[in-house]
Amino acid sequence: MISGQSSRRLPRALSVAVPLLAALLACGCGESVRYSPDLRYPARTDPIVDDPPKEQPWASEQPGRLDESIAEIPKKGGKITEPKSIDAGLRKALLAALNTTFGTPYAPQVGAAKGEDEGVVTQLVQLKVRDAKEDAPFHTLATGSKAFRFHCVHCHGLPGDGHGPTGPWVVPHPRDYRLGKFKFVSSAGGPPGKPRRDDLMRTLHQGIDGTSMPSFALLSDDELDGLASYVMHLSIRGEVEKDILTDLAAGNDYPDMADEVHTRMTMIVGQWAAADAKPIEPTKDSYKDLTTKQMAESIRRGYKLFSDPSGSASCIGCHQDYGRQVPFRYDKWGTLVRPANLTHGVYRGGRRPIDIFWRIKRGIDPSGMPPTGVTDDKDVWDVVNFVQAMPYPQMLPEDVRYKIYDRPPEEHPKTAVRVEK
Amino acid sequence: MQKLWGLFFALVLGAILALCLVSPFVGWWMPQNVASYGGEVDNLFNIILAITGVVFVLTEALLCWFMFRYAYDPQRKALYVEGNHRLEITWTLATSVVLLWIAFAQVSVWERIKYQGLMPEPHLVVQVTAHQWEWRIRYPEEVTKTDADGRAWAESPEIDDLHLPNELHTWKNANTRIYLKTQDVIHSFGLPNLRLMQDALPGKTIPMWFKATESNTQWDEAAGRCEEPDDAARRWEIACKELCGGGHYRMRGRLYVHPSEDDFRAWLRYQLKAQNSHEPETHPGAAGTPVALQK
Repeated sequence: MISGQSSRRLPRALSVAVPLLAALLACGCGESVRYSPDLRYPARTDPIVDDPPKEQPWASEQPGRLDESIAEIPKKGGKITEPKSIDAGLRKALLAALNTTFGTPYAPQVGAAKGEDEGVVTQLVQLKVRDAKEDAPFHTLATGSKAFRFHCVHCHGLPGDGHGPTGPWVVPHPRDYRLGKFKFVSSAGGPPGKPRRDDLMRTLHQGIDGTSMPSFALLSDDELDGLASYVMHLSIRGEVEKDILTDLAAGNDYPDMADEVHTRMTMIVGQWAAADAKPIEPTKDSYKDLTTKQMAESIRRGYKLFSDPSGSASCIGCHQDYGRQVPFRYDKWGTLVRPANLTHGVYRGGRRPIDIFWRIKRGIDPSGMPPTGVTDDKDVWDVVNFVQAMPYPQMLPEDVRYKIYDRPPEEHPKTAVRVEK
Repeated sequence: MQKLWGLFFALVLGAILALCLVSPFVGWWMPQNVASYGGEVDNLFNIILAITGVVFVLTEALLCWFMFRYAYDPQRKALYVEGNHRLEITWTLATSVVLLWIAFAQVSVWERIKYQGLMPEPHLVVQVTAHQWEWRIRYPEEVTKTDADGRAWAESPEIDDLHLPNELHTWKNANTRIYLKTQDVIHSFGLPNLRLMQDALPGKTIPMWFKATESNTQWDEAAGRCEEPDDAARRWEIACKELCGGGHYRMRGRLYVHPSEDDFRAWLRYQLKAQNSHEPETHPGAAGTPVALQK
């Protein structure tokens, strides 16, 4: 009974073991990290949020319910556009035109490799989305695509919709680039919410403290450059798609879809170029190094500007109780956000004084933080000094400290005093 | 035919043993060890490896021999063995004695590394907060702190602290004390080149200490970055050693040991200045971005 079977068992076992081992050894090597060349960006089927709801959300989102909560937006008084309501033929034409202009995940591009308008080419090269050399104009994008698939797609999703497998489960949700807006921008020009390339690089370098976006500073410079360019590519593509879908849903028709896509692409690239041109620069000499006494005065002035509800700054209007008692609200992506708790000392867009200066000057457009009404940069720096001191009661002058933390000074934790400059 | 299985096992195990014996000589062994107590940790490792290695090779050799010698033979009648009481007591006692010895031999090293009461007075106190999936590391502006002050500072951040992701800096021969926290799940702050790791538990602040006996960088003020060693083995890393979710594999950081306290202070001053910037800059983030571990 046994001897007959045993003579077949060894070769049979080996015929399973050897290919299995070979497969284990082969997977995970180099090239398999890239997108498959056959993969195409899918047509957008999730709703476009035209107007977020006006009503007050009383609870934070439930984990994993991103799709459902966006679908519920019309019930809450907002407006969405369903791409599925558009004629399938039109959507097919749109997808084909997008594929021509923007390529595939494996080989992304923005515009044609050869024969593209000179103006657009110049802008794209300046934005580093396109390389200067003619024979490989989209090499940086290809590097970015590879790094994106490896590090980013599980949160940010294939078309950059913030809907990767992890996306619905982290709050705040990963950025949906297709709206064409970003939160932490320092651009002096361009439409609200368009960042400079440096803003994207900064986010990659330092992550977003207080969220699930980590620092990617340990990647090589090439990969970081590629990632910033690829994110811009996804954003431009997504915004073109969103704008045309919205117009198609409103009843417009574009007989030459390829031309329409190209026109919109040109316009949006122009917006990115305008935003990237210059950062918001503080007026010369608006800031000087301050002595301890001068800093205390500056913090007092900043406190007054912050806390006067009828003044030009009136930050307290949204950052109620300095951020400790703030309700949620809807942002332009239809998800929940709330004014920051400034007593925590966690600054998502960066903790440097200039970062806080930029937040105040430019606002955070998609979240509903308006640019400040304060006109003099010296006053803005006062608010910055106050904001930076807020998490550290010991750094606030006594009269201000009592208004924010009403405890006597003996009960504050002992911390070092800032050295007199 | 059955005997071939025994041979096959013996061959595979023999190949594995050969690979293990060869590995220290082809660079597949432990990373560089620069901790002051690192030698003792590695000694313990080698002793335990020797003991368990010898026993392992013996038992596996016996296993293969038995597979070969007692392979199924239809002619042979099975032996009915009731067990050997004395043999079983002997090998249980022998194993227990060895294990007990190991347990006591390692106590002094464990004490010196882990017991709070035996940690030396720190030259530098750093606070590390783990979260999914990176390390947020906080340095005091006032570098020198006493033990008690350092502990209080770990709980109460100050306005002039430097915050950096994923970079741990110290200097050669400094007693470095780290206070470890986590914002979400259990992580483990691992420094393979210092033979040190510590689980970070939610709700706790856990002290750890080390002294690095060699340096691997120098602050380059002109370039605004730390010099990178050409030798990849000297690019020391921080690794998360407790599975903490989907990004656990890339929860890495870099360990930079400056050659002197002055060099460290120069680096710290520059970073604090960058963190206190009131001007837009073209290079984003705090200066001195570390080089990729892959390069």
